[in-house]
Amino acid sequence: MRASLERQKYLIDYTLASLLRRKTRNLGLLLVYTLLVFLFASVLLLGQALRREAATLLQDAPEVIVQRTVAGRHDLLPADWLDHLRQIRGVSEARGRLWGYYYDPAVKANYTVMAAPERPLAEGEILIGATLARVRGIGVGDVFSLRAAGGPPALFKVAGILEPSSELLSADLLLLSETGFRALFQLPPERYTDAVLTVRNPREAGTIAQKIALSLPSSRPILRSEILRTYDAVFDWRESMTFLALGAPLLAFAILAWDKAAGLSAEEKREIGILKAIGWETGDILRMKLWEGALLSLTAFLLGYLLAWWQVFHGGARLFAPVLKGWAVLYPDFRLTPTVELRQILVLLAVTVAPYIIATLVPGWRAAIADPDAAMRG
Amino acid sequence: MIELRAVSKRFNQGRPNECRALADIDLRLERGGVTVFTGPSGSGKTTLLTLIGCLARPTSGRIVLDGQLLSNLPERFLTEVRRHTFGFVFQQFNLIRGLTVLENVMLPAYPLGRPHRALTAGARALLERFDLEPKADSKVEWLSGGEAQRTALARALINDPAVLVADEPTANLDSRLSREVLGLLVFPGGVVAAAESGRQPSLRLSAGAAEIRAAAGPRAADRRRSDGANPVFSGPETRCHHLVLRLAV
Repeated sequence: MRASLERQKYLIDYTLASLLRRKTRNLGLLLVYTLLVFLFASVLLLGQALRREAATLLQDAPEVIVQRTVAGRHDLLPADWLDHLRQIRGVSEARGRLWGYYYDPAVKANYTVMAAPERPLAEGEILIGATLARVRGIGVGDVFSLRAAGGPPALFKVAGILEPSSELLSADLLLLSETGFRALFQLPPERYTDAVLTVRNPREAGTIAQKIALSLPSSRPILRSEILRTYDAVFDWRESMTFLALGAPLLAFAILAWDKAAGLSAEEKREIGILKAIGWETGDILRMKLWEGALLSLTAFLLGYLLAWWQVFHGGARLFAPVLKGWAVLYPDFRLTPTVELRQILVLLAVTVAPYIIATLVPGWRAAIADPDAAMRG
Repeated sequence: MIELRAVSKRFNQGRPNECRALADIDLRLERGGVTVFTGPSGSGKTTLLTLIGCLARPTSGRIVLDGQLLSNLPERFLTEVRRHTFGFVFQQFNLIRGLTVLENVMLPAYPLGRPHRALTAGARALLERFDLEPKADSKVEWLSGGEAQRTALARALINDPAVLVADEPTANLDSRLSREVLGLLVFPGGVVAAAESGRQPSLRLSAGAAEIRAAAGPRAADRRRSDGANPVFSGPETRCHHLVLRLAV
């Protein structure tokens, strides 16, 4: 046992010395591999963190949202639907919502505008998202001008900036009073954009949705789980597109690394011959090559993963945020919650470390099974 | 005792450039002696040494070490024999560049997993013996020819082998260094199979060494086996000095 440990120590010693002897080549490889892992890990970590963020935020979202459709398109919902919805068994609360979008040519961005009856806002007051306030350069007490549906501009006084902690949802959000919202968009009274339901037993949400669809044929009930699924699909799609876009450079890097790792130089072959001639077994050579591959690729993996982690969770994920976060023109400036997922790490290891180790083992094995007499001949 | 029975070696078998390096070699090397193979370049000295030292397998024939048939052994067991029985001194030194003298000397013992302290002490004792202790931490590429050859010699002895095999150990050395290295090749209790091209006119054989002269290169392969006494190298022109001579300069 002790001899076996000593032997592994000697092999690691020799491997490290061997890696250092080919400093330039191995540093180049380390750099390429670190970059490869960094790119892969950045996309995976960011996608995963965004999915988690969406799931966390949607935890407080209503179980069921009901929309009205006309000719298959979303339409305003009459207020008397709310009474009808409240009478469905299992529904404890039904509330109408008012929300919409507003295009601001000044910043070429769409704002999300919502009525917030739960907030004490006067008709001419407005709450704005932190990103929007930053982009427009306005603060509390300033006047915010929006063009009303009727034509003339509507002026609102900024009563507050929404909490930066909710910036994922509120980056481009404007909150108005109900009367202010109706006046801005000239909405008729007794009409809502949609309705949100609170159900007594969340597990019955599906059944309640079926009942709603039966009793109100032009309604479209949307479950929270469906929204989550949609978010997942959107992020998966974005992730796949990013991987596809990265495919060519990643492949080029992979080929380069494979080539560097798999091709033994004449000096390395000679070295293996000498080691065999002086009493090393083929197994010893393979173990040495295994250490070589593992040390290099695991170092690259660790460096790449840590860099990606730092980039995503502390550096604002600048590299891939435009692709993965880009569901609005105003990108929210928020900190993602750091997460580690074992499955993700295993996938990354399988994609990056395993091929490299095989790439170093195979040529080493080929050289090691040859007769060592070539070394004797010099 | 090492015994070769009807051993032949061919390279590039079945190809147009097939070459017979050795044919029908019968040879017996006793323990405790010094054996020198001499002959012109291309006469098969190195091939013979690689077969004796288990660095290559014969195309046909048998190699027996102390009664154990080696030629059919699987590679793993052959490595075991090579590791414990033979120490090699190569013509081109074959030291690993970038490593120190001490590390090079310790290298053959790494797979045995000997305790580091004991191994280092053993290696340093060998360096002391070969007057290389001051160079222990020098990289081998900084050594002179004689120092490199002595390092190779120390490396060959680190696993305490029964047989030391040296291939033209003085080929790259001037006459002073040749004398120095040949002086070190006196290996108590072991067999030194040293191939010399015979280009060193100063080399003389004296009591304690057997000289086996390989005549006429690959053509020797076609010659009939001689039934001469021990040690015998095939062919009527082979000069077998049945002398137990000691190698001296």
